[in-house]
Amino acid sequence: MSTHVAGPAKARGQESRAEMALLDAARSGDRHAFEALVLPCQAGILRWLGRLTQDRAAAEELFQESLFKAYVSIEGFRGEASFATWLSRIARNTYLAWRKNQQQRPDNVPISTGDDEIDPALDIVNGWTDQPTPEEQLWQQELANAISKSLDALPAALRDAFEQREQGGLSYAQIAQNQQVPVGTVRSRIHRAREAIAHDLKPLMEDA
Amino acid sequence: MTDPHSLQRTKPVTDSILASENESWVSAFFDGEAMLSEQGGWTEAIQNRLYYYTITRQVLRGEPMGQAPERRALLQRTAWTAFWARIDAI
Repeated sequence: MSTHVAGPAKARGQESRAEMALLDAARSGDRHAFEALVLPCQAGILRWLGRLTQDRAAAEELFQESLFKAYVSIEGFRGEASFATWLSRIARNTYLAWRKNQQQRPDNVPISTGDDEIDPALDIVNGWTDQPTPEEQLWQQELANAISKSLDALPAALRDAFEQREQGGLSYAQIAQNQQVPVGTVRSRIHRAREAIAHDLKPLMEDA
Repeated sequence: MTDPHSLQRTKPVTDSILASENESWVSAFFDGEAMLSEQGGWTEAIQNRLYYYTITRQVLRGEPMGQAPERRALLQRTAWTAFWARIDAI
């Protein structure tokens, strides 16, 4: 019987380690590391900006501006909060400056008259993790179905290792202990499972 | 030569032959189980893989992830190319 001795908190701790490594590399000028840091939070922040601006092009422009500010000031970011939280705050400030500018334009009706400090829509950290729209739910369901199908098609050992990692939050060493195989086997199994899922998701992403 | 980090699938998926350390590096790094320094160079294929791994994780954890166009916006190299050109112009 498997003994799960750690949970998602442990897994997230290890993910933070990966983020710190990427941060160090990005501070040293590694551009790919910076791109990798942006990857997990880009959709959420873009979605939030799109909802506030009601304008996809403006949202993308504000996001690019936020990224620019983040990159040029990354040396000053010490990693007290997650990179996603830090970038979210930059995006929020960028949006507020943009909105102020829009409101000052004589040809523009103000987008919102709410107080910036109390407007819940401006709570980006929570705002971009709020309820998805029906379209988002549908798309997410399609992806979930594809992942589920991929997992079902995997050999049991691969699926079990992957689920212990992604859903159980176990380290490779703990999974190795549970499966009674070397850590290298676990690493290989998780890699192969991820590769199979990615392969199956690819057409969905390309068609979207 | 094929990039070991490009998305490929050998059918049927099996673990009778273990993936090499190099081949499984992205996945291990994504889990915080491998160091960045273990990897010789960063390629677009690595970035692409991280993209799919991130989506998989977010779906499995039920995290809202926006719609497809939002997710794809920055996968397009043109967006990053424009971004880095702006940085280079500083």
